[in-house]
Amino acid sequence: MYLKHLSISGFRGTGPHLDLPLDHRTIIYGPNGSGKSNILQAIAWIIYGKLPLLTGGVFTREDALVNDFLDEGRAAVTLTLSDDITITRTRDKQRSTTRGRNPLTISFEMDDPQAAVEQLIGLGREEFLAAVFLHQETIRDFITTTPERRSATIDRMIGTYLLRALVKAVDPKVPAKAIGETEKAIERLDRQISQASVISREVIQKRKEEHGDPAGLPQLLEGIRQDLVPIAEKLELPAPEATVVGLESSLASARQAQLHTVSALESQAGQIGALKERYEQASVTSWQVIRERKDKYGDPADLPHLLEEIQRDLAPIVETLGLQVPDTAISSVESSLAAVPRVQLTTSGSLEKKAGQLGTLKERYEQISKEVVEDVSVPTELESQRSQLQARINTLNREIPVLTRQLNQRQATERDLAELRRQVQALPGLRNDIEQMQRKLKILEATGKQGTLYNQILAAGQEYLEQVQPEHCPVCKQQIVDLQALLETLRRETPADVEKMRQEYKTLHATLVQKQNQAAQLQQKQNQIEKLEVGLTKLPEDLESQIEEKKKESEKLTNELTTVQAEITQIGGRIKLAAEYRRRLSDVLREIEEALRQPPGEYVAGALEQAIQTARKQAANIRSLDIQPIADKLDRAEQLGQIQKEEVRLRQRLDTVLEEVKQALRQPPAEDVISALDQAIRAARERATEIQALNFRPIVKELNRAKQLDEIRKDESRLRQFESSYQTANQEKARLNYRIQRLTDLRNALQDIAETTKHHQQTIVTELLNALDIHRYYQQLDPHPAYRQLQIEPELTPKGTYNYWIKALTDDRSHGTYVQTRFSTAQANCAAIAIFLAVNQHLSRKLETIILDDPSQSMDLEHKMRLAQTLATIPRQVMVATEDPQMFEFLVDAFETPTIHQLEAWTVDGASLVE
Amino acid sequence: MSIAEQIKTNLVDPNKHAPILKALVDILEEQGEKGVKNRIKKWIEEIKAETPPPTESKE
Repeated sequence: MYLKHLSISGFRGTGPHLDLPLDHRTIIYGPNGSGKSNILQAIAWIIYGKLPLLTGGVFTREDALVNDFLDEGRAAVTLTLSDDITITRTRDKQRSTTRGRNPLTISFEMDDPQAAVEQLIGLGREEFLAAVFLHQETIRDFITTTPERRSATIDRMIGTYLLRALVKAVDPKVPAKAIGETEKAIERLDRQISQASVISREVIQKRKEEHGDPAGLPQLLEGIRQDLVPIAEKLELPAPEATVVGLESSLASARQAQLHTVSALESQAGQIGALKERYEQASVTSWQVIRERKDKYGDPADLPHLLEEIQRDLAPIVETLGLQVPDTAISSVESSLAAVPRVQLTTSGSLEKKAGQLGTLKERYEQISKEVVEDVSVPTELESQRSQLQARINTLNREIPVLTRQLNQRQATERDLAELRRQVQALPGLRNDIEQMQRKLKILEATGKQGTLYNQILAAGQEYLEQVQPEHCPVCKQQIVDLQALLETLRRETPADVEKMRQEYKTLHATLVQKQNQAAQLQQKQNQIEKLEVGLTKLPEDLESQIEEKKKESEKLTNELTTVQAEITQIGGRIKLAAEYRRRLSDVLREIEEALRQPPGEYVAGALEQAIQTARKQAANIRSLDIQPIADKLDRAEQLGQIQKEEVRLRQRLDTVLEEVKQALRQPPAEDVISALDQAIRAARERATEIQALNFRPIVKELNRAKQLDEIRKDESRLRQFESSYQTANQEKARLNYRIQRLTDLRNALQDIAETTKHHQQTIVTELLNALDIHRYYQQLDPHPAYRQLQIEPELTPKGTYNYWIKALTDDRSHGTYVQTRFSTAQANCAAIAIFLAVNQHLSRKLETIILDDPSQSMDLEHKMRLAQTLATIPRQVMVATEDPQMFEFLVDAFETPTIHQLEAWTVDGASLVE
Repeated sequence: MSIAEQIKTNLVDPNKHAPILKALVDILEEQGEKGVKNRIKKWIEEIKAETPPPTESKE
């Protein structure tokens, strides 16, 4: 059976209608994204209702089955098989791919169309996707993924994937874990049952004989309670309950309260003792000290009178010193009195300093007033003389440099003239040499022309003689006997120095040119001499004497100017000095006015002397002021103030202590406070001794016995409870044992299934791999020069599944390599396709079709051609999708009359075929 | 014969484990490994809820 026709509408990227007749060889060709894979996916979807290799979270978020750009919102695929059975599957757009219905209809009546279709095809979905539909992802998994995932892919290809999945899923550990939990529950039950035997009746009876009958427990507890009640009252605790717990708690509280109360009473006695000491101190000792101080300094009641007296004594002194009169407060008086010695010292010092300054002023005034002189000024004639001298000196200073420059210029010209005259002395001799050389050159020129002509004639004669070889000389007509001898004679007689003469002419001519150049240069210098001589006549000859005269005049005038200048400077000094004395006198008078605080009047020195005497007298008065008597009175006033404050403090302290005594005694104390405190101390100590003497030992002993009786009573109760529940526990244990048995059956069954599945898997894998004709397809697809054989090596993992290793071998099997380690991507692709084709050929099923989605990835031209030729030999229906133009051409060439569906580039209108 | 059929018919003793095996393979084909694991857990829960058959008294 094969696929005959496919009609697609709105499925994934296809448009409203795509009609595809399918033949023995079908090629689907188009650019990337044009919808080729969608067409192949539609075949898988219509058969199995699921998309191949499309799983995961994103397919729960949108419906990837229905074309989103079409208004219909519906996908429909119809497949016609070779026996004209028609299958149709539809789907209305949903919110996700994984939810919603994909109803299937078949052209004949069946209750379960899905089962019927799979029955027709003869393959489960996994087998279909492994052995019929070679998807791009399958090839990629085969090459790049982990060994386990690759092995799972190969398991799918060779059809043993269900075995792999079954071995992994059937895990006997799951029921084994449940068995372990049940066994632990049985152990817990066993422990409960065994406890009942520990609390046996014999043991309880023995304990009754030792501790008594629990029936007497209430009487015993009441007796203990009666013993504890007076103790609790003494310790101010609530009355106990007549239970074991209540009595235990009450006893513990009583013991704790005993310790606490004794400690508190002892502490109380100590605190009252300390209070008694403080009261004694505040009421007796301190008052005695105050009385002694009053005897020494007087009564504090006199303090105001004493302070007024001090104020009266101090007032004139502070007024003299310019200080403020204090009030009657001790601190004010004390502060004022403390300031007196300091102010006394500074004021007297200041007055004496002032007297000294006035004395100094007086001396300065007298000194300066003697030095002051009348006004002086510089005479006008002297100023005029200085200006004239200065003007003449300036004129001379400008003329002397001009004359000096003219003198230097004349001297330089005379030196140049001397040098030029020395050089032009050689000019007459040079002109003579030139004339001689010109004559010699004329001679050499004439001689050279003659020699050249002679040589030309001689050369022509020799050429004539050698060519004609005459018997007689054409010039002299003499007979030529020996031509060679004649020629030799001519050569010998030819002037040999023509060339030498030329060379001599050349050298002489060069020398002549050189001499003529020298003569021209000397002539130019001669002309220059004449010009310099003309210029020299223009400069005066007595320049040196003129310069000398002017220098002497300048020197003489400078000396005169210096004398005049010194005289003027001297007069200027006297002017400055007079001004200085007048300024100083003015300053001193201003200072005197400031010191006296009034103008000094006409008789300055007298006014100053009077002021000096006044200041000294005031200083003496201030130094004589005596404050010691006032200080003594102030000291006494301070003592009286302190006594007054101490009395107040002492009264406050006594009030505080009495308040504490009142609180300690919890009542106002009697008149004799000391006796009341002594009595309180004694009472606290007696009560502490009484509490300390409380004895709990008999009560503890009785309470322990009561606890034993209580335990016996509880054990009896528990024993009765165990005895009643024993049967229930045994029933539960039986139920758990039954569960273990059932779980063990399940575990054994799963173990059997797992073990047998592993064994079966081993058998199938071994047989299948041996039967597969992988080599043939591999050799057709890949012309590897060395590794000609290909095989799948199974390796059993500890989990019981297989890992497969694809190994390539040489023909003699002496060398081998794993495909993943050494093969290129294209070679590994060839290996994957070879295995796929071999498996496809081996497995028997009803659908004789093979579908390949873009199988030529990464292949070069030769591999593509080989793949096309190999697919052409497959004796089944072949459908190939490709975007590769070369692969398409190879397929068209290899397949006989293939059906070709060429797709346009995809648009939102959906995938469409080229017209 | 498909692998699933081979498993169902030949894998283990049909008399002993046939019901379990048939159920497991059906689930494996439909729901994959996870479905098989969930079915085994469900069996265990069913066993836990079972009551043992009444036994005859020794007396």
